[in-house]
Amino acid sequence: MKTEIIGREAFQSIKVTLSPGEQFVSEAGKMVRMSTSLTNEVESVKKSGGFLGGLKRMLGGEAFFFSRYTAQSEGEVVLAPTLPGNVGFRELDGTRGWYCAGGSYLGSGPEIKTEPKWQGMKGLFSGESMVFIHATGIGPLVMDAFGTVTEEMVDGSFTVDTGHVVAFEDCLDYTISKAGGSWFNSWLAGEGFVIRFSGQGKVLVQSHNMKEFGAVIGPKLPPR
Amino acid sequence: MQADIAGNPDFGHLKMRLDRGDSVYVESGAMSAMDDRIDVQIKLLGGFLPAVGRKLLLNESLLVGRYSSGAPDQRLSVSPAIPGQVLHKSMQGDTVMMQAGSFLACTDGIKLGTVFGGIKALFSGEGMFFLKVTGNGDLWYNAYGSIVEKELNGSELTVDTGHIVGWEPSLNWEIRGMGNLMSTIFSGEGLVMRFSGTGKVWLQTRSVGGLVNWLRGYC
Repeated sequence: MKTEIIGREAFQSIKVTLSPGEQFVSEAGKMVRMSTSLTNEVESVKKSGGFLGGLKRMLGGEAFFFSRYTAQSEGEVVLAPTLPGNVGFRELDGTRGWYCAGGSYLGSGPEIKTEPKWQGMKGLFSGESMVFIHATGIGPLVMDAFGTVTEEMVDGSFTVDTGHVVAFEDCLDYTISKAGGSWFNSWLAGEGFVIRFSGQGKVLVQSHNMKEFGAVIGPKLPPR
Repeated sequence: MQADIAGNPDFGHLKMRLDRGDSVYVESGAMSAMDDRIDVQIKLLGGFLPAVGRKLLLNESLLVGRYSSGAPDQRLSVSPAIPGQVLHKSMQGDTVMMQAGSFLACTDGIKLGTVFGGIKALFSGEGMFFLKVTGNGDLWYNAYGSIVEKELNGSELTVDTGHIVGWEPSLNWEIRGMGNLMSTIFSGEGLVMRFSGTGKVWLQTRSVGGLVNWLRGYC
């Protein structure tokens, strides 16, 4: 299996080349093109965590289904995110997993287990990261971002706006809380929620925030 | 303090490192990530009651966060809501007028005030108030798309209100409709700013109003 990021910064995609018999999994609906030598099977809701599992993925901003690509003979599949921005991957070696937030999960190798983690009521209010996808195992994990991505080292504690979190290592502790100040200030300022990380590990931060971009455009549109 | 602009031209944003005692003003909601030893205070531009009024009537905040560092080498990242370019301007006692959405951040020596744009500004779709930025220090501002600078030397320039980033107050400016007032108000389109005199105008190559109008066709 070979993974390659293609396209320039604002419009990146990922090309996965598979040898005969190899598989790759993606968020459903993200496929741009694939070789005819690949078969594409949509994972039934049951196989990937039952109805509730699928519902949780939907609430988490993820598609309801996963697509599994299998190579009959050598071929490739290209996956792309919805919004402009970076695509990147991490090779998981089985020691540390990652939590993908806010719909950043794009795809993964067949040996990676993806499990939605409900973030409770606070997650609900934050509006974008109600469910994190916990990815563990061995192989490539592909994520997308709105804008460019910076890897920040946490050593102690570090605060990130929920809308800017792409993913973080599962060795980090985290709490979701309101951005500083009182509720009144928060309302005035239109501030959302932040994730406070503690411990030692890596956080991937995206330069732009889908929720903020939507909040600029949405109120100017006529109601549906 | 150290400040670098990253991600230009598509995804401009600001990466800062604050030392103990440094503080910066940041557009509300624009902080994306920070270290733990940075404190935040919300400041209302133009006083408390006008700020509450603007929020209730117009859903315009015009708030800034004051981020102050209590330790050396604290990371602070700041991002605009819209993809595009971020630029820096070194202010030495000068004054610039800005579309409220174009302000991103500034250092402590800079004062931010609000200027009522007139009743026509309400219909421009860009907000009713402009920011008056004045003082000494560093100013960072952002655009939807990239930023173009135009210098006027006694000439005139007409700019769609949606493409305004900012201008120097040495210029005369007025908001006017392309057609008559009634058609302008009811169509919500065709508002322009007419500049004359001497000074600089900064424009953005895309407009949020243009994106919104395109999306309206699909609502």
